[in-house]
Parts: sequence; C-alpha cells; structure tokens
Amino acid sequence: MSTPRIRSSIAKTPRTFYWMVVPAVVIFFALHTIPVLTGMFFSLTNYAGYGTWNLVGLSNYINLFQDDRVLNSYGFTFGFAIVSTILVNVIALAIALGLNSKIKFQAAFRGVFFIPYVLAILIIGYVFNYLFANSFPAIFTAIGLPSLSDNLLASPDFAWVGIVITTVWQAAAFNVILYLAGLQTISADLYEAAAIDGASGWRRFRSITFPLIGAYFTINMVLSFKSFLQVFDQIVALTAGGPGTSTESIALVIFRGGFQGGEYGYQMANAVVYLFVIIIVSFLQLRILQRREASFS
Amino acid sequence: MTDTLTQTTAPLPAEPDAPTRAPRTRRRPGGGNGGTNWWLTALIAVCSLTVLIPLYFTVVTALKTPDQLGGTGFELPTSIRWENFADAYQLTNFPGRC
Repeated sequence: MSTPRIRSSIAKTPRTFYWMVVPAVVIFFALHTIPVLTGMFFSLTNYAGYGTWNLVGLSNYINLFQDDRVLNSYGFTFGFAIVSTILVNVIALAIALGLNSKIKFQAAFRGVFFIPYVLAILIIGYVFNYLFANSFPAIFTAIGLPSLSDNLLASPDFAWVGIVITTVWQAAAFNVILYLAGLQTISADLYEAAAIDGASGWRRFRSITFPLIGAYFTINMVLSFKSFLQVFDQIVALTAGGPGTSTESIALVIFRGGFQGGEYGYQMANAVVYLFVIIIVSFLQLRILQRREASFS
Repeated sequence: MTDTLTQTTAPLPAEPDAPTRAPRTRRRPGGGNGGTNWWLTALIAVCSLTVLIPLYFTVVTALKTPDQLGGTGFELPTSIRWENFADAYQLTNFPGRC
C-alpha cells in the first residue's frame, strides 16, 4: 500500500519536468548521439560515402598519423588557434578596460564593439576577402607601398595572417562582452583603496583587475581556443584552404575528404581523433588556468 | 597586497558614525576625481573605426552598380542601385527555399 503511494507522489511532482526534459533528451539523442556513434562506427570501415564497405579495424587511425595532409592541417590549426587566442584575449581585454572606464558615449561604443558578434562569420569572410583582394592592394599602391600591394590571401606563407585578422575582428566582440561582465563585478572600493595607497594604473591592473577577473579569463581562453580549433567558415570564405593546402584546417580536411573526396570512413577516424584532441586540450587548459586563478579565502 | 588592504580597512571601524560615510560615497561618482576621460574616449573612437570601416564598406558596396566596383571600394557610390536588393531577393529565392 505504501509503495504505490510513494510512486504516485513521485510521478505527480515531476510530470511537468518529464514533459520538458524527455523531448530534449530524445531530440538530442536522435540528432546528436546517434550520428556521433554512427560516425564512430564508420571510422572503423573503409566506407567511401557511397557503395559497399568493409570493416577494416584500426587501420584508418594508423594511416592518419602517416598522412602529411592531415598532419599539416593539425599544425596549421594549432598555430592558428594559439595566435588567434592570444590576440583575441589581449585585444578584447584592452577594449573592455577602455569601455569600462569613464568615457563619453559609453553605451554607444559598447554597441559598436558588439556588432561583429551578430554578423555571420561566413559573410564577414566574404567581405574581408574582397578587402584583402582588391581594397588593400589598391590603397597600398596609392600610398606608395607597392611591396605590400599583393593579395595577402594569395601568399602561401602569409594567407593565415588574413584568416587571423578576420577571425580576431569577429571573435573579439564576444570576449569583450565577457570581460566587461567580469570588470563590472569588481567593487570600486578596491580601486579607491589602491588609489589611497598610491598604486599606479598598471599596478592596479596587475594586482586587482586581472586577479579578480581570473575566472572570466579562464573561460575566455578555453572557449576561444576551442572555437578556433574548429575553424571552418572563415577559411571557406577567405582561401578555401589555399593557396595549395597551406591554410587547410582540420575541419576543412574532414569536410572535403569526407564529403567530396570519397574518404568518409577515413575522415570519420580523423574526426574522432579531433574530438578527443579538443576535449583533452580544453580539459588541460581548464585545469591549468583554474589553478592560477586567485583564491581570496 | 593583503598588507595594504588591511591597512586601509583598519581605520574605518575607528570612525563609527555612519552618516558621515554615506554622503562621501554619494559625492564621488558626481565629479570629484576627473569625470570623463577624453583621451580614452578618442582612443576608443579610433579603435571603433576598425569595426565601422568594414561595415561602411559592406553597405556602400551593396548600393553600387557593377561598374563602380573598381578602385579601393571605399568611395561613395556615384549612383545608388537599389535593384541589388531586389536581385539578391530573387536570385536566392529567399522565402521559397525556407
């Protein structure tokens, strides 16, 4: 007698809960978990994306580590992600500090610096593509610097710079918002106390501001590094991996080889490795950065 | 840093009358030390050009005729071609695709 009563009381309370959670779980499982597991399964086959396939064990994974194209894409992606993460965080923190101080038109400037975030990165990429290909060469020729008048994106050695510029332009906006939120949690009393003690601006930044936004710094570093490791749209719009294969990111190699090159199973193996690389990198970053966050206990 | 903090906070309990503290904190944001930092405002304004110039370029390009597209692309359009928007709407078959 007591068991059904308990069961009904449990069932009565969470009915709304189930109505909210179960559809989300079902949709997530059907549209995310099942495709992931399917992809992981196909990484063990020689499936080309069409036709018949056989199980080939782990040979896809072994071949990955001997494939120059894949290794180059890992090198490019990590280099790109490291440079972009540092630049984005330095620039975003500087802009956020400026926007948080006593300036005129503060709300308007905050709005301006937020604009890039609401634009699609693919469209920004096409705009910057035109700027790099036509506008900047014309400007540099006009001001008498013909050595800089080549299309930046056509140079195998420097095309990545154009991708970094475009990425930083767009990604800084979101990090500015997070840093601004962090800066607003710092009590003005601390700065007042520091001013009484005669602390300089740099000293105030190093001893008060930066330690107190440590958590925001951590999350910005982890999120931006993770999203830059997944770089895809900018590259499609700017260089399409070229010139040659000099700006091919991991995601671009997976997309091209998997869906256009008849290497579906092989690139699924690449995607599985890539998934674990991102998980491990993000986890390590979180651990290391959280350890250096100041604790005020 | 902990030393300096305890130094500054230590004298506060010594003056216990709250009414004298309240007006002091209220006066500070009004003006007191400085007010608007115009140099920083100018710097931020210059930095905001990095966002605004590509946007200006995009809007200006959207209004040009194809034969105006030469040069740097930053020139103002000599004649505005609103048909670009109609063309884009038709070429992408926008509402029909969705």
